[in-house]
Amino acid sequence: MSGPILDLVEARQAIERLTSADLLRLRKAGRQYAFAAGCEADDLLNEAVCQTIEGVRNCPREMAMLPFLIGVMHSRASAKQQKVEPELVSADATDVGGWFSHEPVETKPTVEELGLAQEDASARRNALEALFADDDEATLFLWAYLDDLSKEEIMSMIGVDMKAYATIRRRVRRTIDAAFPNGWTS
Amino acid sequence: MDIVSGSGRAVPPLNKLADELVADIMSMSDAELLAEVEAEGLNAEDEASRVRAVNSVATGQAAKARLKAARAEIDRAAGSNLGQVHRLPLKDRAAVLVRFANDDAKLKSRLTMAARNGEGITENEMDDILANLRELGAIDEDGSPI
Repeated sequence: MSGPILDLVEARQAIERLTSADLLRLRKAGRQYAFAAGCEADDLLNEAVCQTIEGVRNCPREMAMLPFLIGVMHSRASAKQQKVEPELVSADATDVGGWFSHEPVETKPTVEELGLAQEDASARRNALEALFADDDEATLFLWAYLDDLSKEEIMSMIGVDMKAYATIRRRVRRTIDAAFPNGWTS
Repeated sequence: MDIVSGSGRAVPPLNKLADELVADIMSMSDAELLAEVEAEGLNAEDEASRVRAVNSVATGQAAKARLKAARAEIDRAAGSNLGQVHRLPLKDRAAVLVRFANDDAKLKSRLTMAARNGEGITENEMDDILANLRELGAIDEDGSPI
């Protein structure tokens, strides 16, 4: 990462200055990344804050603390999933701006760990499919994302414009929010 | 506020889905956000306070971790000042102390007890005394009198 960064005291102060709306967004974002990572939302947020205050992650001066912390949660969630999908490993953590950088996988998982993690990831995908079993649009939306299609491809496949796409996206997000308010707690 | 991906690297599919859903969260106005939280049956201020508490716990944990690291560094530095003395075999460290014990009746008595029945002075106490002798310049880093 290049450019000026907040020192540790400034980072702590920036976290303490987050507004109520910021905190609510942080909580909601944490739920989604925790579900993706297969962990609890509070644990993921705790990790992100600890890493920021300890200086493991450095917040660029030009970036607000809220998107920075969300980016850290994204990265942690991505790293946790790389145990499941090792072919996706990227060891570079030097994205410009430090936004959504990937993390190196710290330890190579054993065959047993990999098996358990894959089972857990499958359980999360199955849980999503069950959640939207009676919502065809939402199911298509999910399948398309899990099959790695782009937003444009998804809109074309479902046959919706941007406005309708946003409506489906919000419905999916709120449903997951309600069903898994603490992330993944199995 | 847009959420952007950094460099086009492969992102796990569940994370891509989460990115897209988080983009929805970021696209809401504060008023929409508050209304959504209230619609979930939650009090927005209570919920924000709960998240603030999670952050406070994390801040406290990080502070403790930093303190522990600092303590370890101080201990490491203190250990390096001892030179090799604390790495000598136990009987050699005891021998260094015996040389000084003739001038210290209490120490001599405790060393004698230790030699007889394994009591009287602990290894940690022995190392503390050696550290003091080293700091006072009474012995060199190998435990020899200066």
